[in-house]
Amino acid sequence: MTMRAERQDLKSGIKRAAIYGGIVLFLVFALFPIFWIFLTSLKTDKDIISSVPKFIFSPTLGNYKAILFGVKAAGTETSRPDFILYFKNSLMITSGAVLVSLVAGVPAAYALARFKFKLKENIAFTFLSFRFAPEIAVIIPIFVIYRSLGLYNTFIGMVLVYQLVTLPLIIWIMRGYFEDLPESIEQAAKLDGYSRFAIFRKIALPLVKPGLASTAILSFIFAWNNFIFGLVLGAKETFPVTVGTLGFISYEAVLWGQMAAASIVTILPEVSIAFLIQKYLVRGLSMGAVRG
Amino acid sequence: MAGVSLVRVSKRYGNLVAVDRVSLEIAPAEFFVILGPAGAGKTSILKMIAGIEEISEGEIRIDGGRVDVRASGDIDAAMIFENYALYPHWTVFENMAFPLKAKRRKVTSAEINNRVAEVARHLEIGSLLERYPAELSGGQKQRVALGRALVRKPRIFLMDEPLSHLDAKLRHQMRRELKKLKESLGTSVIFVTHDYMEALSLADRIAVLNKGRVCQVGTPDDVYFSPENTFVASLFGYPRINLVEGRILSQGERLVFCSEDGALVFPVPLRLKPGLENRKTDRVTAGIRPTSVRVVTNPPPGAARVEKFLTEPSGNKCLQHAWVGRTSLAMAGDTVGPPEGQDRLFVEVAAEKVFYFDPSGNRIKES
Repeated sequence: MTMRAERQDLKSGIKRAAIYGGIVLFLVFALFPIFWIFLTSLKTDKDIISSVPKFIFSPTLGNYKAILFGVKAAGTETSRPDFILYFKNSLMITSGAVLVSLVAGVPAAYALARFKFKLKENIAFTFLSFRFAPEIAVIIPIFVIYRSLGLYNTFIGMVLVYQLVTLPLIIWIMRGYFEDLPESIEQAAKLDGYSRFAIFRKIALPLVKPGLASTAILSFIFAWNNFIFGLVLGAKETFPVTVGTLGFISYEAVLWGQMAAASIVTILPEVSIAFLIQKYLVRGLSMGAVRG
Repeated sequence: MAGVSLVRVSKRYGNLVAVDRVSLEIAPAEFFVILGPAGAGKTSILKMIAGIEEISEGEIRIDGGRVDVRASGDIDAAMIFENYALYPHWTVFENMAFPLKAKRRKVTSAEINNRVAEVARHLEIGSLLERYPAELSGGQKQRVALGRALVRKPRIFLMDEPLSHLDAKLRHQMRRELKKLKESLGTSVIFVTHDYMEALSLADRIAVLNKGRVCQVGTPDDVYFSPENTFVASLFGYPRINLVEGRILSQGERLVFCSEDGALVFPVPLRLKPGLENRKTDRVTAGIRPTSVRVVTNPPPGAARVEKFLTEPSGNKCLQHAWVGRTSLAMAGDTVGPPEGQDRLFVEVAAEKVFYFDPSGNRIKES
């Protein structure tokens, strides 16, 4: 090996080490809070409030038992079995919202990608603008409207208001996927004697499936994490888990352990879904359609 | 069997005129090639016939019935796209069966299987039926695209540069197969290309298109041997036709062509004398095909002296370049030409085969 090659090797070695060092640093920064919550969820109240943070302690599943089965464990004061209800609420609202957004948003995205009509860009921009204002800015008027329409504290109302989160996302991302499809494939189908709707259903939709999956998952995560809509527009029967977790802060005490356990359970769907995303993000399907 | 006619068809994209009042008559069972450089409006014409693009003006008729007002599914034209446009999520079989599965066609599934199998056998893609487009080579995709068009037995075929993405060897092979297919088909084919060899070898007739306008329509012989203008003349043949600017002079009883700097002089054929007689004040352009000129060592009387000579051997042919005064001439010579650097060389122009064009580029014909 020549001197020069060695120096080059050393250089790229240092570079790589720096990159990995940076990644590790970022991961510690991002993941430590979650790690700490996880530790907290396994501690008894006594261990949690100890003035010197404890890394070594005897773990207990008491907090999980308390939130999932309402079992009062030794050392825990009260339990909040409502957590299960909130978790179910979250599942219903979030999946409902994503489903409605898919049904309404995917055809809308296709139309915006392929059709020519008046005010097209304005309409597309209006959808995007739903994301401009912070939710807190519109929540009071929505609250008033919901009260008078009887949508307050209903699942339908929640699913509808969550469209502000999921619909723009789905329309804008899916529009991009549809635009990327080679137009000639759809023209071929048109000449083969199919209607616009049949082309959408049989050609366009299957070809954007990977994009559809990842977009749906992304909007699921956004919706799952939403806090303010549930807080203002819902009550106990419809609280999502993000709001419900607040219930661990009560007059008597803050149930840190149970709150931590609830947080861990809450992020489980997102984490498992995020692993699914990786597989679907591979967009190989539309390749090979055109010359290769 | 169906013929297609375009009557003063135009296509505008905003201010840009892509197709400008094009009128064409395509006979039933004719193999009709539309030839032109990129941006000439070839594909727009095809897509308007197919009903994929709206026409801005004019009429398109198939079998006498207007189609420009109908949905493209009703037109019953099959199109082969430049990028093949196969359905990537389906197998070759499903790709080929798709046009037959359309409800309007009411083909039974047994019939679909038969027809796909028959066409697949014909195109020798029977072994590929279970594969996906991504697993096919360019030539195989081309065949599948062709197969998908063939199973339908459409009234007309529209082909948009179907061979342009194949490598040279495959292109020649597919060209031969298309030619074979054409004999057995009996259906009109409208074939768009920018490759003059494809046009000459496949076409019954060729329409040459430039900037959205039709320059000339004719048989391959017409466009090659009687080009209407300099554009058509320089589109066909490689090396390109030599266009030499000069003047017409009288030399006794005869007329001669004399290049701008006077270095290249050759006689004008008698049949063109009436047409060129009154052009003496104009600048004219002589079009000399590379096959109509050669270098010789023993000069005929009045032959022009070659000042510089280069050769580009390429197997069975040899491209030669000769400079006569300020004029450079490309020649398609034999394998063994005169050696480079020889200083007593002369050019001999086959004067009978030279075209003459007026200042606006139109060919001056015998009148």
